[in-house]
Amino acid sequence: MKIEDLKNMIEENLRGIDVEITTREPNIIDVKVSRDKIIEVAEKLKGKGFDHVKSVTAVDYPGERFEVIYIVSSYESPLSYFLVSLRTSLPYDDPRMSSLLSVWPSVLYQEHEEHDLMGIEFEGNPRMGERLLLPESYEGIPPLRKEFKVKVEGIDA
Amino acid sequence: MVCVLEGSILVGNLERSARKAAAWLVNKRPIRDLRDWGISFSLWPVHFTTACCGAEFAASAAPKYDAERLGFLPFIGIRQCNLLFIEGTLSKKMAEAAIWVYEQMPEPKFVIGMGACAIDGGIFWNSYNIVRPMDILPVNVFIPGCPPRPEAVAQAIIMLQRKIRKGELVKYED
Amino acid sequence: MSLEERTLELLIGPQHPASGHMRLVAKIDGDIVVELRPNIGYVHRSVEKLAEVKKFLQIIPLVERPSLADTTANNLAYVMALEKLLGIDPPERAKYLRTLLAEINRIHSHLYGLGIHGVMIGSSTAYMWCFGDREPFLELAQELTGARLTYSYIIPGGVRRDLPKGFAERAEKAIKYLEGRMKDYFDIYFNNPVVKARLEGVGVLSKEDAIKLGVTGPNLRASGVAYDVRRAEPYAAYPHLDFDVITEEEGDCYARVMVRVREIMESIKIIRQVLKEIPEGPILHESYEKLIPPKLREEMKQRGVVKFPSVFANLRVPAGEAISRVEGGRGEVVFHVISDGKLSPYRMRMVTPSFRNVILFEHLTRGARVADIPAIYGSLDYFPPEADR
Repeated sequence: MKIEDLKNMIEENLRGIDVEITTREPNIIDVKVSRDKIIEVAEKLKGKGFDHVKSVTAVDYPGERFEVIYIVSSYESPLSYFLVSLRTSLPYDDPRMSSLLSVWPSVLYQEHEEHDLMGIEFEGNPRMGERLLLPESYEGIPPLRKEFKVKVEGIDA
Repeated sequence: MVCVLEGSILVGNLERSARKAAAWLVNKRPIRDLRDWGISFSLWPVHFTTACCGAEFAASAAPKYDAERLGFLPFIGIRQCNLLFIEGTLSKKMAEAAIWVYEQMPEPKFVIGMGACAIDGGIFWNSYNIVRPMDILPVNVFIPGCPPRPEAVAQAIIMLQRKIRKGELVKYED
Repeated sequence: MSLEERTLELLIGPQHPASGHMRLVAKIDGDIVVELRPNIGYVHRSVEKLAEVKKFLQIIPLVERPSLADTTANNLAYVMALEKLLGIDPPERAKYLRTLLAEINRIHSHLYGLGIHGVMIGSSTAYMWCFGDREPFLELAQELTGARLTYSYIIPGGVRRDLPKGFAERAEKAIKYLEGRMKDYFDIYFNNPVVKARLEGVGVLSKEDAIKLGVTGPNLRASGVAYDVRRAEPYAAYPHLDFDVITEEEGDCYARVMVRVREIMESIKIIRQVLKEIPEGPILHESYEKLIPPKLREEMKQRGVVKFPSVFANLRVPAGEAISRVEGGRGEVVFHVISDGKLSPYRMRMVTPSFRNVILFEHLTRGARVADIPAIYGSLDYFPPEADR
């Protein structure tokens, strides 16, 4: 299956929703959507055969926005060659979105980790508020943000 | 206890004087050497596979670099062990557990710090989540390496045994 | 008495006589487990945050350290992501050498997992035999790269060292030794009625649940799903090699153990093919070889050891995003690197197979007995430093 055919198939499937679809050779398709339509797009992708999530990445651009990227793929051939990166932007002072747990149960621990280390709220995930990797007594800003500085030494300091 | 000796009366506590006499005897030369020899050849470590150095610790107890011929048997019950191996990086959550385990072991007990991470943090020195073992526990021997070879682990055990047999580390007090 | 008072909370760990540090909080009712929650984070060393302040080549030892038994998979996945951003493709001989090291690593990583599983269900013989039989392969890797476990062998553009003379004969000797030992393993351990009674029918994972929960590695293939990254998106020399993807149908602990044993035999087949078909040629990409001064280049070709060009000290990677995946011994490793043209990555995301398998602790132990918890724990081949990174 060629990547152009898959892109046309996904565009056909998501007709009517405001999305932006681009491809990156040889096997990555980017689907960009706003945060209130993400559950609808996720359910349509699951109907097409994309059945699990490989990784949930949260990136922060200080002062502007957060970006959350879900890398989704399938265990069956021929879709197992392709990776769909489903991305959405959140405003910097209100980082909350609805969790995709109801669509893909494989995101439970990954969303919990991004909540713990980056401070993003996923509404609908039952583990919000608990600590996963940091100690219970940790206070302060979430460590993976750019404002949290680690020590460096030598000529790079 | 009261006893009469040639006309004078002596008053004392039998149990306490017996214990003081025993401690003095065990710290005196021939019995002290026997005691140190026994301790040095039966150092049983706790299974405390902290981080990546645990794989080389497991290999040093395996057939090729057999550490059991030095008297070294990793044992499952903490109350019967007297050696604690801090292998690798100690994170903040694990440091509390390390102190609980250390306090449960009976005296006399020893600590060996294995790997570059146990000395000063190693490659993770600027992480926000690690603790230096020498700030919280009294460490006797450090082993450099990332990870150290199993021969280095055997060398560290032999160094610790020599230190014990010289009489520097174990002293019975009342 | 209400149900609230009947259940007892049992804390297992974080110091327990098996692999690594994690805590299992189990609620049990008599001898049956009602609910089990893993509490992880005891070995969290923040690899993702430290990667934002280190240079690109300094990150190679950093990403190797978490999963110590299978370091080549992390090394290869990170360098593949860098090569996608740099836009270069390594020479053919380098690809075959990468495959050779990856398969040697897979063999001794599976033996590590089987040994730790053996000591968890009480068989010290399995632990001693598995760890003793790993040693010939660690020596082969030491001859090829110079280290026992953390190789740092793969660099952007190729590999660091060439094959030494006589390597093929010594590899053949080590492989023949392991094949001869397999009969003893089956007689004493795998066909033992005690081991079969403890492992068969315990912790059954159905095919639908395996796909729904997103698990990876031999745990997935033992439930009947034939997914292997070496076939789904081939990398290194795998498009030219001939091997099978091993699956089993039952999905219990015994099936997971059998998948690992049969994968060792497949790796032996792949190593023999690589040593026979490896082509001649350079081991570092030509655009980096041009930058090395000519006298050092002569020495490099004579000794077979690469001297790094000075551009590696301050490698600048063009801005962009790259995703790469590799099949390691425990499962699929995914790297997502975002770069903005500076000396360190902007964000590096690393998803290891143990982190994706944590959810199986909650799922498989519902309704099992307390004595089944170590049998299930060992069969998942879970490595805590790899999950916490």
